[in-house]
Amino acid sequence: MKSVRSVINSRLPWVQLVFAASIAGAVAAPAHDSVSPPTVAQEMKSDQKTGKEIGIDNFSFKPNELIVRAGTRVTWINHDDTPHIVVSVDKRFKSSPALDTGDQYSYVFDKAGSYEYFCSLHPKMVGRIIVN
Amino acid sequence: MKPGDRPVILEKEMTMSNQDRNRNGGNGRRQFLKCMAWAGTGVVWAMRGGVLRAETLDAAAGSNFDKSAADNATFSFVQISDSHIGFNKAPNPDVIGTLKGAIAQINALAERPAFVLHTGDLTHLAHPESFDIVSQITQDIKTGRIFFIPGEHDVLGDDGKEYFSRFGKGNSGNGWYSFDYRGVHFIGLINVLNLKPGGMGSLGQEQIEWLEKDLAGRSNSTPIVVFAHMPLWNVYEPWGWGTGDSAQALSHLRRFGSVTVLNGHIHQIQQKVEGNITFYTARSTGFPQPAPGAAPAPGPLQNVQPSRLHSLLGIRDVRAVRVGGPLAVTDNVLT
Repeated sequence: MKSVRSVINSRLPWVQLVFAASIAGAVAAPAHDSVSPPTVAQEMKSDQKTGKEIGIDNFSFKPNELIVRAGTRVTWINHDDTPHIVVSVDKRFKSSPALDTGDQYSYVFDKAGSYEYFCSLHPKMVGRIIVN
Repeated sequence: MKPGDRPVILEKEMTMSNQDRNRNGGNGRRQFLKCMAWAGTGVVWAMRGGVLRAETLDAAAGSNFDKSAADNATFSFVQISDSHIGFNKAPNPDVIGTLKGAIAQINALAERPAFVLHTGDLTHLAHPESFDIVSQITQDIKTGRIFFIPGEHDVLGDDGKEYFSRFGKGNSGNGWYSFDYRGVHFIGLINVLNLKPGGMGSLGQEQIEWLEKDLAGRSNSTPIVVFAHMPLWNVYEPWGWGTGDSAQALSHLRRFGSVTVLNGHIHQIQQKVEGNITFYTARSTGFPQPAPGAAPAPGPLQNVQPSRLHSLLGIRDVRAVRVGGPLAVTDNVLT
């Protein structure tokens, strides 16, 4: 399992690229308006507003590893013709009720950390949420 | 039935003399019958003395039957499974109708079964009203008694509180139990609680220890029937079709001459033989599921022609001829 630190490190180049792009955009600004790439702070706000989705399809969580910022609302949606139940491995977040086809369950991850979970009906289905 | 399968006959414990026992090395005749039935017609293939022959269910009851035994040693029981009351999607929007159809088929059997075993997933979502429906509908079965064990769908969300309040009265530990009928020992195990992430079915240490005690002191010639929801052998691990800690449980069963394991969960028939233990999974009365690996996931089988649905659902009729006869299994599809 990747440590939180290695995850942050792997994302650093991306962060640098964003800053570089926005600086380049600012320097080479043409006369008319241009849309600059979002800054990190803007991304964070957007996540918290719209949240992230995990689809449950064919007895698997997609994506089965999700990286989010603290304060993000994560929503599981069951697309299968069979119910599933989202349960935190160490009971670190509240379990979902039984989700029938089309049902959703949301949880706001406030604290940083790695949250492993599985389906208590079909325990081979596992996933992880990494909160920065 | 595969070529080279060894035949098995339940031991004639009541009438064998000491002389017989010594002649046969102290263990008596302990041979094992694997009986493969042809779905839908009630034909039983029986292997006796190395000769394979087909018999109707009625004839099988009559032949090689020691009528000098004090009791009528022949009896039959039925296994049904995975009724999933509460399910309402393709390929079967009417699981209540197909359960009633299965019951009509049980009631039409030539011989009234002594009892019925339901190997779990009575309901789809463990709703109280779903359990009510199961209780009501199964009252119409013409039989002595119905024994249930839960599937994972029956215990979801409440660790089985609703299920056990209705079907678990008087049972040991977390609801497992055993009973005897005409010399055959039946054991109901629960392998759908406390499931661990990444794992399969689970019996738990407490239950395995209870099983060991339950079997202690029983003669090796006692025929054993074990029923549990998830398969007690690895049918297909990627889909969780197995029980992680079954090896320890099976080690306590290996000394017995005739062990039959009846499971559900996978909504199709699969079979395996390991020495004296024969494993069978059963069809669902609700909806079929794909064969191992034949689909991306083990959900309800899609694209089933409505006219074909009944041929993928079914009941199982099991006959035990205790004295000198086979344990015969007949799988019948819904008509």
